[in-house]
Amino acid sequence: MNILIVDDEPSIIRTLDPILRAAGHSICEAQTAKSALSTFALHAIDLVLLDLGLPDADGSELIGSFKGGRASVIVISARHLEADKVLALDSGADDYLDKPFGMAELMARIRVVERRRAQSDTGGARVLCSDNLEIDFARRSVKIMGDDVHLSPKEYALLEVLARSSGQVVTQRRLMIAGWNDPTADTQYLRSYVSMLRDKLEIDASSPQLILTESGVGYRLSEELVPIT
Amino acid sequence: MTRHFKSYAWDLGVFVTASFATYFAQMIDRPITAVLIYLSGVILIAVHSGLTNALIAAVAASLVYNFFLSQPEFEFGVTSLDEAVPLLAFNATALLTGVLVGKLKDTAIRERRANADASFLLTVSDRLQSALTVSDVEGMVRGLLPTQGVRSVKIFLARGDYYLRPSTGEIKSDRLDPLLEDLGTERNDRSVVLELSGARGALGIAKFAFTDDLDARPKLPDLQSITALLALAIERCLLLEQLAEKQILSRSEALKDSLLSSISHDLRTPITVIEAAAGALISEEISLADNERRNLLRTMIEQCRRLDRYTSELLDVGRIQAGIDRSTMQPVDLNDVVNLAIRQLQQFEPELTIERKVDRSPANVLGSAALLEQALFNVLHNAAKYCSGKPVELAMTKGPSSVSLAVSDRGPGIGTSEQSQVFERFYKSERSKQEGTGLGLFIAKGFTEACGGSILLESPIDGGIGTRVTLEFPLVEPTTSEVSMASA
Repeated sequence: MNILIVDDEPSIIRTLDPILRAAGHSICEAQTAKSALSTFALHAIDLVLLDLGLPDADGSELIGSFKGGRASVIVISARHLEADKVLALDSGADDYLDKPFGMAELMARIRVVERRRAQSDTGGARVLCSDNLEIDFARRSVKIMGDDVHLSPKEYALLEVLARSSGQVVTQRRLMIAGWNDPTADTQYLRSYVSMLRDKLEIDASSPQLILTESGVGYRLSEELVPIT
Repeated sequence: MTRHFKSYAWDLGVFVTASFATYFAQMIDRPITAVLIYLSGVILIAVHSGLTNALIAAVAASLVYNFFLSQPEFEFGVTSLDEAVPLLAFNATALLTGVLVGKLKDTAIRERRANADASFLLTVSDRLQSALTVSDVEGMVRGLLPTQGVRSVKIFLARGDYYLRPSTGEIKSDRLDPLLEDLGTERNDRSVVLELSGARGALGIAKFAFTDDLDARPKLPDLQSITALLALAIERCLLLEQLAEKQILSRSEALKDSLLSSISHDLRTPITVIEAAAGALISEEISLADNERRNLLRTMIEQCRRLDRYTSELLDVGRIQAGIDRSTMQPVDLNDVVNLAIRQLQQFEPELTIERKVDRSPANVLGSAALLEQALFNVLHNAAKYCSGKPVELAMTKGPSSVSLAVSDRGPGIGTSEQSQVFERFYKSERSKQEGTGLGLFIAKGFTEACGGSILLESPIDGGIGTRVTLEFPLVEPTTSEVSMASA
C-alpha cells in the first residue's frame, strides 16, 4: 500500500518509515496539514496514518479530504481524549490508535485496512465469517461455532454494523443510528443490548473476547470477518 | 448644643433690645415708632431663627406690649377702644410677619441642608467608586462620616451563618454579636444598625456609632442613603472579586491544558518511538537490513536521552514552583558557568559556532553553580535552535556593581507579540518546527531570578533580525576562603 504518515514529530516518521518499508509498503511523509494535503494530491495514497496534533491545524479537519480521495485513515492520538477520537471517527476515520502503540498492533490495524480495501466492498457480501462466527445477511442468520443463535432485530442490527467494520472501532453514534435511528438516544439502551449480545455470543460474557468496549468511543468486533464467495 | 444656645441668646438679645427701644419710643410719645420697632424685632428673629422662634417672639412681644407699654400699664387688657385697635393690629401684624418670614427661613434652612446632604452623598459615592476590594469599602468612608455626627462605621458581611468584617477579617460567629456588642454600656443608644441589601438579596449589615453631640446626629433617611451607597459599592467589589477569581481559574485551566498536551506530546513521542522501534526489532515478520536495525537502536538511545531531558525539565519546573532556597547560595564565578554551559551545549550541538566575548577576569555572583549553568545552557540552547545555522555570540560585560551575560543569535528574531510569552511555561513559538517542550526559557528565567538576577529578551537586534537574551546579576565579593583557595 501507499501510506502517508502525517506527524509533526520527525523522530516518529524517521522510525516508522524504515519499518513500514520493510513490511512492503511505500511511504510518503508530511509534518504539517498543508504539506499533508499537497502530498496527498500528488500521490495515490491508500492509507493515511494521521496524528491529530499538527502545528497548523487539527488533524481531524483533514479526514474529509482524505476520505474524499478514497483513502483509509487511521488516527494516531497522543492526547487520549475520547472527544477527539469520537470526532475523528465520526468525521470518517476508519480506526484509531493511542500513542504509544505496539508495532504488532499497528501492523494488525494496517492489515485490516489492507484486506478491507482488497475486498473493496463488504457491504455487498452475503456471508461473512471468521473461525467462530458466521453471519448470513441474506437470511439474517448468525452462527457461533456452528450453532444457530437467535437474535432480536435490534441485536442483529447492532451486530451487522460491527461485523461490516469487523476489526475496527465503531462509534456509539453509528450504533445508535443502526439500532434506534437516533444518534442522541440514551447510551444506556446501547449498553444493555451489547450486554445481551455478549450473553448470546461470548464464551464468558463477563470477560468479553469478541465484542470489545472502546471506552468512551464505541465497540469493536475483535474477530475479523471475511466474505465467503 | 452650643450652637443652639448661641442662637437663643441672640434672639433674646434682639427681643430685649427691641423691648427697651419700644419703651423709650413710648416714653417720648412715639407710639407708632414703638410698634414698628417691636415688629422689626420679631422679623429679625424670624429671619434668624425660623418659624418657631418668630411665633414665640410675636406672642411675647404682644404680651410685653400689652402689660408694660399700653394703657393700663402693668396689667393685661385695654382701657379704651382707642387702645384696643393698635394692640390688635400689632398682634395681627406681628403674628403674620412672624409666620411668613419664619416659614421662608425654614424653607431656606431645609434647602441648604438638603444641598449639603446631596453633596455629602455625592462625595461618599465618589470616594466609594475607587474601592476595588470589599475590605477597602469601610476605610473609604471612615474619614467622611465624622462631619455627619457618626463616630465610626463597621461593615459586616453575611457569610453562611456568621458575619465577617472584611476590613479587619474579624469574624462574628453569632449573628447577633454586632447588634449586642454595646448592650448594657452607655453607648448602647448611640448606634444604629442597618441592613446592606444588594440586587441579589441581603449582603450584611452596617453599624453606625454616633458622636456624643446629640444635635449632630444624622437622620435615619441620611443613614439609609449612605447604607445604600455602601451596599452598591460592596456588591460591585464582590462582582469584581468573582470576576478575578474566574480569570485565575480559567488561567489555571489553560495551564492544565498546556500541561496535558505537553506531557502527552513530549512524554509519549519518545515512548512511541522507542516502543515502535523495539517492536520492529523483535518482530519476526519485519526483516530489516543491518544498518536499519542499527539506526533504530540509535534512535531508541536518542529518545531515551530526550525522555531524560524532559523529566529533568519537569523536575526543574517543580523546583521553581516550590521556591528555591537562597540561604545555601555562595559566590560563583560566571567564567566557570560560561565554560560549563558551553561544554554542555557542544554535546548537543557539535556543529554550532559560539563566539565568546569574555574578558575572563573574575565575575562573582551569589548563586548556585548548577542553577546558573542550567539557565545559561537553556538560553544558549534556545539560541542554537533559532540561529539558522549562523554563529551565536556570548558576551560578558562587567559594570561597577553588576555583570551581564548576553546571548545573541542572527536568526529571524521573535515578533513583538510573542516576546511577552516566551518566558511562560510550555510556550512554543508557532513558527517553531523544532522539537522542544516550551520549558527552557521558563526555567532559565526561574533559575536566574532565584540567583537574584534578571532576564531580558530583545528582538530584532540588528538589521531587523536576531534575538538577544541578557542575564544580569549583582556582583559580590568572593568569600575569603575561596580567594585563598584560588590563590593557593
